[in-house]
Amino acid sequence: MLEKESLNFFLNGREVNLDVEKIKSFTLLDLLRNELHLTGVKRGCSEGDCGACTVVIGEYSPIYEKVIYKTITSCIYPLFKVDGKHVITIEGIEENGNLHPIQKSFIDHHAIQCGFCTPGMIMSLFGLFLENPSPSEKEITKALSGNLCRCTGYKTIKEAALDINGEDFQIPSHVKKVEEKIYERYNLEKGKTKKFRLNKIFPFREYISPHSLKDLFREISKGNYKIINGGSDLFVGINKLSLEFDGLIDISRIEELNFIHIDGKRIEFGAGITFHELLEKLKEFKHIFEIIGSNQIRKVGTMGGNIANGSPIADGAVFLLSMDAILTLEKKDGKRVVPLKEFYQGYKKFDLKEGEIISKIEFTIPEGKISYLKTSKRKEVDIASVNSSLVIDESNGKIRDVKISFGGVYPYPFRIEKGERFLKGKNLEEKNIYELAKLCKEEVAPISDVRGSKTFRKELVYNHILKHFLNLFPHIFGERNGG
Amino acid sequence: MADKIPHIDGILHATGKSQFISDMPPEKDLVYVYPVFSNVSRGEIVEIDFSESEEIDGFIDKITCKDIPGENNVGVVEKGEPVFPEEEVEFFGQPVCAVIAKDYFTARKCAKLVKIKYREKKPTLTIEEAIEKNSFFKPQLNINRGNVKKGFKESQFVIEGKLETPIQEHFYLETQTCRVIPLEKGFLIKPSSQSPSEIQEIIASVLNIPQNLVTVDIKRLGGGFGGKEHNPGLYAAITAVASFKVKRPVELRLMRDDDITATGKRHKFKAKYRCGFNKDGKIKALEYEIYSNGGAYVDLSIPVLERCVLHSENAYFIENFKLKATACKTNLHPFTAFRGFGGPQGVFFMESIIEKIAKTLNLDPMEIRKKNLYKSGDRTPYGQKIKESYLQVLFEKIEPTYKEWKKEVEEFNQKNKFEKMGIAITPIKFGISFTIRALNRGYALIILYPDGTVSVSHGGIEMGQEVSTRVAQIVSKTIGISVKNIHIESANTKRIANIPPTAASTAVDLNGNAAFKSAKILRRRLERVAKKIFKEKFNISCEEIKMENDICKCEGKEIPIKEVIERAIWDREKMAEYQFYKTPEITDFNEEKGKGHPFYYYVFGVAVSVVKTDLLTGEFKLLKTKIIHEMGNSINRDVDMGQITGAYIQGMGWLTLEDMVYKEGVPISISPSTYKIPTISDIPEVFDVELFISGSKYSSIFGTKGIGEPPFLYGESVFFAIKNAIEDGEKKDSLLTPPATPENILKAINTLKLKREK
Repeated sequence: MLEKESLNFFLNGREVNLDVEKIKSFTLLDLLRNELHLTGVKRGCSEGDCGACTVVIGEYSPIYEKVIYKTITSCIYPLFKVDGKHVITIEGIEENGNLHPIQKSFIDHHAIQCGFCTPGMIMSLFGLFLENPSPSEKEITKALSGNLCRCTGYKTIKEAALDINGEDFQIPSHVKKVEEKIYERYNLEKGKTKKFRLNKIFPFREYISPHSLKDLFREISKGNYKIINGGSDLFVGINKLSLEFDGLIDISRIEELNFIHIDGKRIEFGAGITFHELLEKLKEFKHIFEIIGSNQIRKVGTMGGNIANGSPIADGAVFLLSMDAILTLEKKDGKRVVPLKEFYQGYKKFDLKEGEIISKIEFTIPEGKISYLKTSKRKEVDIASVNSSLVIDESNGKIRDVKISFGGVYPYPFRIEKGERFLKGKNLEEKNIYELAKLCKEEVAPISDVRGSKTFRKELVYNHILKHFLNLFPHIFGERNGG
Repeated sequence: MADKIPHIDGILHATGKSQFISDMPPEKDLVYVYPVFSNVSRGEIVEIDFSESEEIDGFIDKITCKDIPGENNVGVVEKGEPVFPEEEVEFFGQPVCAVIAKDYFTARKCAKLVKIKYREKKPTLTIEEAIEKNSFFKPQLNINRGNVKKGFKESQFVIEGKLETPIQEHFYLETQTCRVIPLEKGFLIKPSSQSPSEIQEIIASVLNIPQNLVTVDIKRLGGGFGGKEHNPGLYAAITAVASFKVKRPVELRLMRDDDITATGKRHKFKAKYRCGFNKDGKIKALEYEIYSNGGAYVDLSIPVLERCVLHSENAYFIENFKLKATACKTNLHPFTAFRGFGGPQGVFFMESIIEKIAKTLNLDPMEIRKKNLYKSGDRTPYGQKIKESYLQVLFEKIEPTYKEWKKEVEEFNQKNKFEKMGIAITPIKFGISFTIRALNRGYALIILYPDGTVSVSHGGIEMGQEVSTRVAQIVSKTIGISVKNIHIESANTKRIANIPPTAASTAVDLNGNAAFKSAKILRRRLERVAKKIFKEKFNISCEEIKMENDICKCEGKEIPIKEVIERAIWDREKMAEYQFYKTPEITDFNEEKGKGHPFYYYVFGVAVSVVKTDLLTGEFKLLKTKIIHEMGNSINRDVDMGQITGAYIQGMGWLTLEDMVYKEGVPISISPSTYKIPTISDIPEVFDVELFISGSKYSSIFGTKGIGEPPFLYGESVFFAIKNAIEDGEKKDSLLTPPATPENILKAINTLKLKREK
């Protein structure tokens, strides 16, 4: 165990050591702005949704076995996570007093108006180019979807981004120099639990980051402790002063939770795998994982967190439900296996016992076709009004098997098994689909809230069913059915 | 004439070195104040209990209405808007009192622990409730031209209907912020505000100190859009009262949720209309009854209503026109200025009517528009002559694109049942000038230094619209000193005083003209001295001296301008000039007669948008946009293009994605997770913007025209394109109501289905 008296990390190539007792911040943004006076990083929303606070984190990844770079929103990034990592801010991308080509392109293209979103935009692109020196237009818009600008209408920002040539893209020399030190730190702290005891003004008094499940279970047994991974949901609540804890247990370093095994159609991964890692490793589902959150959120948000958060509209859970995914739940004295569809029991209620965590998620890519839909007010970075996933195995117009899952229409992500039973064995024809849509609509029990009324959601259930079949089998709807 | 000049602070912004208020290094002893907001829509304050927050480590003090040394008022148009209410709260989110603590986090924590007891009263929330209770702000506005009765009688068709426009949140990226620093005498105020003089006046009155002891200094805003025209006064006053009480520098900065909950937004408007026209589409008569929801205090509701009224015929000549418009007092947060300032609402009503006429006559809406466009020489319903109209030429320019795209839309729709494309065209005619004549004034102070550099102070606030860059260009062109040697100062009430708000698309017109006047005078002085130097040095008598790129030129000889300045100072020439500009010709809009010449000139333009709508999910995608925007001239093409694209996307957001949701008077879409402004993925793949340089003599400095607000109206074409897609050539009206969220789109599709079945 490492009782950490100081927080040590790298900031724009330089080592920073801070006395834990004296730290007043609990998010990275607050530390950068209020204690280190790096004010290039801005505060726009305190919930990771506007991107003004975007910075890039360099950390060693056991999945990639190298130092990787993550574009994150620092306003909801738990400060103590940066220990041993490299934080790169807008102040750290110039070299020898020369503007970085991204900065230059923004100026040349007049992609700046009020300037408040500018550093975040530039850092999002910086992170993108670190990963991918020749991004496509689509990859650029994806990378910038989590950065709001209210002035420009984005046209010039897009033009500035498209004009950055991968060959011009320079990686500041400090970035590579620090990599070795990060790796060293990783090895040094391997197997050790890091523990920060905090000032009493904090909304949590302890921050604990174990490296193994065994150590986790040693910590987990006490008091009002909350488990986080990316923390991207919990820190929204903490920022808004609505949550307080005795301590937080950060499971992002736990080795046993950080793996992906792909064996043909068989997928197994640890609950600590981020959406970004999933979409990189499971290319065939990239288009689905890509509609979850923003690039910044996908870099820290995990499938385990998405499930355990219990949101009735969780994108990842709705997808996994239709995959018949199976969860492995672990606690101190053993593990058990629960199908995801039996895991949920009520609104934010699930089959997770005291001291138990989700450790592994597995599924087999099913036979047949998959369609995923999400309807929200905005295409990118929005929470759905209704989302749904449909898996169907059909041959010669006969439906052999079907799985239908919906989010946002029940107290939890929900499989419409009555609909599945109805369709199984039926012919793939228009009237059966309409019948199914009607049946599904009757099965759901949505509520009205800020994202839509009950009636609207019910109608979406009906229409999603049609839309799924229209996506997969346009021919059954006659001639005028698709482009 | 347009030069390629980058953003004057572009490097600072791109490197993160530019400072917004909360980026400024904290003063020694800086403390933080945070308001406690009302959690009822209307109620008497029974008790405020600070005891729990007083126990928190770091609590310093509290302020209530009893701590206000002067007048408890931040209302400008009308008194009565308090800093803190004394007896009754009037809206959910109204600041009731505030706490001061050693850091920001503690201040928020202390504020949260304050317990306030209310005796709740039934609030008035909607326009309908306000009408029922006769709860209005005064005056009512009227316009009456021709004879509508006769007009209706002569019309072959008369239609009636009801329309409404949605509320919009500004979502400036930098939330309401203010820092107040006590000086040995008086206070230095650093607010994020478009209205420095208003802040100065409010704070002097609230603190009961003379105005000359209140200095307001503003370098830049992280977005304004009207949300920092009147809103910041209240928050500056709270900060000042706190600083007055604890005698320390104090900062206030709202969290996003509180900013959206508590501050003013774009007004919701409703209209009833009756319109008469002939079978060729020519409008004979139009009658309106318009209401806006003004919220709890009058704020800017009357001038906003006025601009709505003055744009409610948009680009069309209507012979017989009658209108009655009223702002309602309710128990929502006050509604305030927002880019377009009522204009977008008025234009939306007119454009909706045009669409309805087209539907009634089964004609292309394009034809109805062309039939009714203003021609040069026509008069508006309020009597102002449109001296020149570019609408016809703009329509000619855009018609081929419209026709081509319309064909694509029709072909797609033939082939598709569940997805439909739609197209719409929206013309604009937007009046430039504050409709309150007195506000049309600009100021500039230019100082030349002997090293050839320049300091410019002017009355415009920099909020991203690059008034700074453009004023610098005007000075540069006039004196011949390059932009890199010109520094634009913060707006500071000790250098430039009695400034109108930076609003109404007038900042460059007013302050650019004043700067031009100052620069011209300085140039004359410099030329006088330069002639002397040319004579002495080269023995040439110059008739004309060219001044550009920091050099004076005459008959092939050159003298650096800095040398001329140095000499001028030595010769006791005044190397600083303070000038004033007031817009000529305009009059106030006479509220009683409904007549006036409120605008110095009009801006014209036209936009076409094409969308694809999913009839099953109600989602849409904006595919293509073409905008042709008329300007007399452009001095910075990039800046103008940026204003057009930014305003267009913001306008699109208003009528589509942005859904300000309330539950019984309580705003519930108060964060970016629930209130969705457009992202980079929402902009069209084809985004074609063309500047049409008309050379119009009815324009302002160097032939330019105000650019901030007019392009906002182009966004309306997206809404009408969605409506067009849903209706797909049907004769029936889907009654799609903005914002066009998936829910409202599906509702409209269902309305059509029901009508079809009937």
